[in-house]
Amino acid sequence: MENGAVVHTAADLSWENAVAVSASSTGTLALTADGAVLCYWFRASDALDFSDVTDAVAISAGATHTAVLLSEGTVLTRGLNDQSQCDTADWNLGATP
Amino acid sequence: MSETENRTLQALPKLSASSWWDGSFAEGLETYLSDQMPGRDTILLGSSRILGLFDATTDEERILNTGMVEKLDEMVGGSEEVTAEAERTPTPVPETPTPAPSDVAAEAEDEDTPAPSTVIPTETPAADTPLPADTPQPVDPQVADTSIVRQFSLIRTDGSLYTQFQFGQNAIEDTAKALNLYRDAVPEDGSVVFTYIPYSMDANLWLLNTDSYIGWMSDVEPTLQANVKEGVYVFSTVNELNEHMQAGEACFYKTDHHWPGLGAFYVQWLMMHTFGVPSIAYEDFEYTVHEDFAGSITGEARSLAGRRDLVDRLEAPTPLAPARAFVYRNLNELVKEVRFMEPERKVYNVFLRGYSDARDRAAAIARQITGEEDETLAVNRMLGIPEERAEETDPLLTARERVPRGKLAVGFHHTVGLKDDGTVLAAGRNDEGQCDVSGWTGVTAVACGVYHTVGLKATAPWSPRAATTRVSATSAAGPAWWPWPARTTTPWRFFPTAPCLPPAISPLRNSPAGRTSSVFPRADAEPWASAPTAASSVPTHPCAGRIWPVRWLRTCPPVIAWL
Repeated sequence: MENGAVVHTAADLSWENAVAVSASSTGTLALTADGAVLCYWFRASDALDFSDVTDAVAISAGATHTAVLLSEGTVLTRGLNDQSQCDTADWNLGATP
Repeated sequence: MSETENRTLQALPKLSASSWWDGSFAEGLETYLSDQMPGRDTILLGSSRILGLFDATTDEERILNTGMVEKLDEMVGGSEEVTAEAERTPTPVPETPTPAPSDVAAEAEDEDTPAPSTVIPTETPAADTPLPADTPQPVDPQVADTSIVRQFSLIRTDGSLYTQFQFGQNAIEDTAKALNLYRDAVPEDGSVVFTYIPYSMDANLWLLNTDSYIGWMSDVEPTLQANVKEGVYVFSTVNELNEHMQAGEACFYKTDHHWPGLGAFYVQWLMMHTFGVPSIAYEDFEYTVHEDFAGSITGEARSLAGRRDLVDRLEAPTPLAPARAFVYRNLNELVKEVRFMEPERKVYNVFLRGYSDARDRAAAIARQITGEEDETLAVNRMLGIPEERAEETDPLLTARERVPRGKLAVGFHHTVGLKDDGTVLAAGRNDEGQCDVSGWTGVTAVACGVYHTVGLKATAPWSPRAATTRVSATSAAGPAWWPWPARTTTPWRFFPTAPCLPPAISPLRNSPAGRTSSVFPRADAEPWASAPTAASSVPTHPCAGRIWPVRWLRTCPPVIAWL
């Protein structure tokens, strides 16, 4: 599948459970009600793996990197880091109840 | 539990759609204030003032017992035997201090025990109009409020003031306490709106003596505003109506203690526009007109027969939840009544509740405004009650609503996060200054463009009720070559959104069409400005410093605004 590849799929993850989406020029993120993150990318090889995320509360997709806000307030950033745009390891935006 | 009263004390009432509509929230809140608060009597006094504004009791005796009828009789000659000459020439009104509407309402709260008042009538009548010896003096014996600080006065033609009511520090503080308690009782993103409504007797004192008075003024409201919490808004009805009264508009009845539609309309117009929600025009309301309305007071007094010069024209507009008619008594047929309020109601929300199907009408409007089909959800949204939605709706909807908005944003090569304290973090490329957010404070949402970052500041928490939301300013960081509109000095005032939109920043990502543009939500259908095809096209932001109207819409289209 070249275009519209659904890279990250799981039986319990589907659009029906999506509570938020974020799109960039190259792909789409979806946040599910149970805190998982779906990643749909134009080129499957560029998609990011968020299968380990279970407590996401917000998402934001970029062209080459993406960010996920976790419930405790930390920010998980994955993708291209050539400009240190993924250096968010020490961030804490505040917990989301 | 109260040991002295041997009963369970009232818990803080839960605000819900049903409790709002039927008035039980307000009533329960008053009981709660009475039961739970230290110094409750003092606070309750202030609370009564507030509740009194919405207590449109249908028991005319409560009003009649205040002595207004006697005053009215004095106005017009005090007798049913009225001369033809008097019919043509209104008798000047004696300059007699009258109880404030809040005091009247306070009495109505308990007929057996008239509520004390800290609103002290003036002791300085016009020199040429001595006070009658038996003029009521509603001075609160329990509050030695001698520190007079603010007043409500009529303005004489020579510019001097004829003070009608003086408000002492105690009165201001008591009212502020009660308002603040109301603020605490409503949801965090809720608000409390308060205004003193001048008594019609004061209005008539002016309007029936225009050769003596040219206006009125009050400096009470600003003082009260300074004593209340954020989220409490005090409006000055007195000052708002001044111009309209001077223009001869019928903002008050001559013959009735209720408000005519026009006076109420102007005040609600002020309130709604202050919150960025325009009212429809007065002419656009559905309304009923009676040309021979003599007023409930004069009808009871039976003293105005033949005084056609004082007969009012009754106009009953139909606002959000319509209130269509008043207690109406024809001069000669007192039995002819059209009940405005439901007789069993005690507490009355002026603009939200009216006749028997008001709930259905209001719910329909709520559905229209919010786009929510479910009545309860629609009303809850209007009232800003997310908790109730969580209890009654699909967990998925709840989860969607709980997604933080504007907390996290990703640009082309940078990442931005909003902290709970309103400051902003940024990481990544900063060639154009898109990560220069170190000085940002008070931000409520962030968004990224390819080369820029936008933060939104809100003066009030976002609420599903657009009426209570005001987003006042943005800050922006980004490339110097971009024609930022006075990026450091000009506040932009954005009013968000139709009420069903999520917090105003939600669609604030770049639009698909513009790499350096931002999308702001707006409930209006027109774009704010043209696209920035050239730097010169947007030398200043067209919204700078302006208050933009927001319309209620059936749907909630986010509309593009270009930086």
